[in-house]
Amino acid sequence: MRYKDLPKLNDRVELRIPYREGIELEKALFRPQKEKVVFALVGGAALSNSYIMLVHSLMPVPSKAYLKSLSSTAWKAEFNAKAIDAAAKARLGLLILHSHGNQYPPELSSTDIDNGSQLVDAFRTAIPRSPHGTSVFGREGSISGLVWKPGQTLPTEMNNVRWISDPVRIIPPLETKYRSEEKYSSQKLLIGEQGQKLLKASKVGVIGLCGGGSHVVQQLALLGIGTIVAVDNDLIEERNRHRLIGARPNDVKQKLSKTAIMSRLVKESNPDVIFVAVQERFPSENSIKMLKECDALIGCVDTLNARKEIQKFAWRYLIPYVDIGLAIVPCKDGSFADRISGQVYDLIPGAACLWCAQFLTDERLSKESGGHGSAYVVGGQQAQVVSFNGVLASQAVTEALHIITGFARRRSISNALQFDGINGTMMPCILNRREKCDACNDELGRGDPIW
Amino acid sequence: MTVEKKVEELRYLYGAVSTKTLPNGTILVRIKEVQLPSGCAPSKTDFLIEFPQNQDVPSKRYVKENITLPNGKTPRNFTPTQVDGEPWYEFSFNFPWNSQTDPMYQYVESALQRFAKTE
Repeated sequence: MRYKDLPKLNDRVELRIPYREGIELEKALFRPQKEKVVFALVGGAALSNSYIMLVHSLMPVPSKAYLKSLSSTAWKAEFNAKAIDAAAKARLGLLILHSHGNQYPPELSSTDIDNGSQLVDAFRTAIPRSPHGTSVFGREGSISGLVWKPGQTLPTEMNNVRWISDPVRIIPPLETKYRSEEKYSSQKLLIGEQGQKLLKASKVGVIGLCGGGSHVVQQLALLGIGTIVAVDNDLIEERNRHRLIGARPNDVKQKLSKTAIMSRLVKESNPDVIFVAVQERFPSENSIKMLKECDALIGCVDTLNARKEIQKFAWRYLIPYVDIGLAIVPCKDGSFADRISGQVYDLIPGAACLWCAQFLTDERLSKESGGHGSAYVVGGQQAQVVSFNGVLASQAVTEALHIITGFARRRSISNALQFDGINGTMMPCILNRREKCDACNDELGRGDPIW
Repeated sequence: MTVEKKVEELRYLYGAVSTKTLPNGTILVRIKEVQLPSGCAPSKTDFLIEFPQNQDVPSKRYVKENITLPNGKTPRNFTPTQVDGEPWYEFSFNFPWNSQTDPMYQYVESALQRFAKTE
C-alpha cells in the first residue's frame, strides 16, 4: 500500500529524541553506505492537542543480524523477538527507525509500510498498552512515520521531530500567529526574526515564584515568550516581599498568592504573553498536566527534594530543565558573609542530570529531610538577598533563551555555572552523563504512566 | 507470605486492586477508593503500596488525593511526589504492624488512621 493511500488519523504526533541517543542515531543511520535500522524503546504522552513519542533507549539491528537481500533491508526475526522482550520488560513501546538520506520531505516506501505494519502488529499484540510505530528520517533530521497509539487500530501520521540538545531543534519549527513588533527590535539584532517567532511559539514552565522565580517570570514576559506556566502554592508573606519582583506593600494584607502577583506583573510588563497560573505544589496532578506542555522548565525551588521531583519529570517528558539555587551563609554575628554560593544548571535530557552531577545524592536528600523519608520537610528561614537571586535568575533566562533560539555557538552540553557571590564570579564546569545513573536509566523518555 | 498472596488478600477485601512491576523490580499495588476516616475531605482516595524488589514488606505508602483533615488543615509531612511518573502524596506515620503475623488490610487501615489525627 502507498503511504498517501493508507487510512490514518490526523492528530499531531511528535517524536522527541534525547541528546545522547540523538548522537547515536545520527551515527548509526545517517553515515553508513547501506541502509541500517535502529529500534527505539519509546514512551508516549498525551498533550492537550498532540501526542508525543519519547525515545528512552536504542537497539540498533546488529551487523550480523542483517540478511542478504537485493530489494530491501531485511534482518533476522530473532532480533525482533529480542526487541519485543526488552520493550515488554521495560514497559515501553517500539519504534522502527531508518533513514532515506537526503530525501525531503522523507516518505515511507510501500515496502516500509507493508513490513513495518506487520511488525507493529506483533508489537501491539505483545505490548498493547504502549505506543508503537515505524518511521524514516530525511534531510537535516526531518521525519515521517506512522504511529499506533495504545488502543488505536488506525495509525497516526508523525511528521514532527524534536532533537533535544542545546539548542533544541524542532523540525518543522513550531507554528504560531506572529506579527513583527518594534518593541523587540533590539533583541532581534541578536536572535533574528526567526528567534523571536520561536520565543512567541514557546511555552516555558517556572516552578517556584519567589526571589529567583519572580525575576525569571518578569524577564520571560519581557522577552516575548508565548506562554508562561507558573507553579507555586504559596501566598506572599511580609518576610519574602523584599525579594519578590512585582510585589506591592498591600499584597501581604490582601493575602495574595504568588501566582496572582506574577499574573499582574506579566500583564503589566507584556500583555501579549499568556500566563497560566497553577497555585499548587509541584508535582500535583494539575501542575504535571500543565508543565508537560512546556518546551523548557526553569526550577527556582529551595529544596533538594523539590529538585529531585522536577528532575524526574523533565527526564520523563524530555524537557530541558534549568535549575538555579542560592545559599547565603552569614557568619555567626551576621556582620559579614562566610559564603555566598549558587548554581545554574543547564540540564538537557539525555545528557547529564542532577544525579550524574552528584548534586542530588541519597545522602544529601536524607540529610535535608532529617534522616526521614521525603515526606518530611525540615524547614527554617534562610538568608536571601534579591540582588543575588537576580544574578542567577538572569543567567537561567539566558540559558532558556539559548535552548529555544540557539543564539550562541557552544562547545558543550549540560553546563553548570558555579556562582561565588562574594567575589562576583561564575565558574563554568562541564557535566558528564554517568553510564550507571539510575535516574537517567529509569526515567528518560517514559512519558505518561501506564497501569 | 509473598507479595502475590498479600495482593490476593487485599483483592478479596477491597475488590479493585491492580499491580505493576517496574523495571527495577519494585512492585506497586494500587487499591481503588479506600474510605478515609470520618471528617476528611475527600472521603475516599486511591491508596498505593510500594514493595521493593524481592521484599514482601512495604517500604512506602501513598494516597492519591490532597487530603484535608477533619479540622480543616493539611496533614504535616504530607508531600507530593511522583511514583512511576504519576502524582501521589507520600505520608509518614508509625504504627505497629508485623509482616509475618498481621494481615495486609490491617497495614492499609492502620496507615489511613493517620488522617484521623488532627495535629
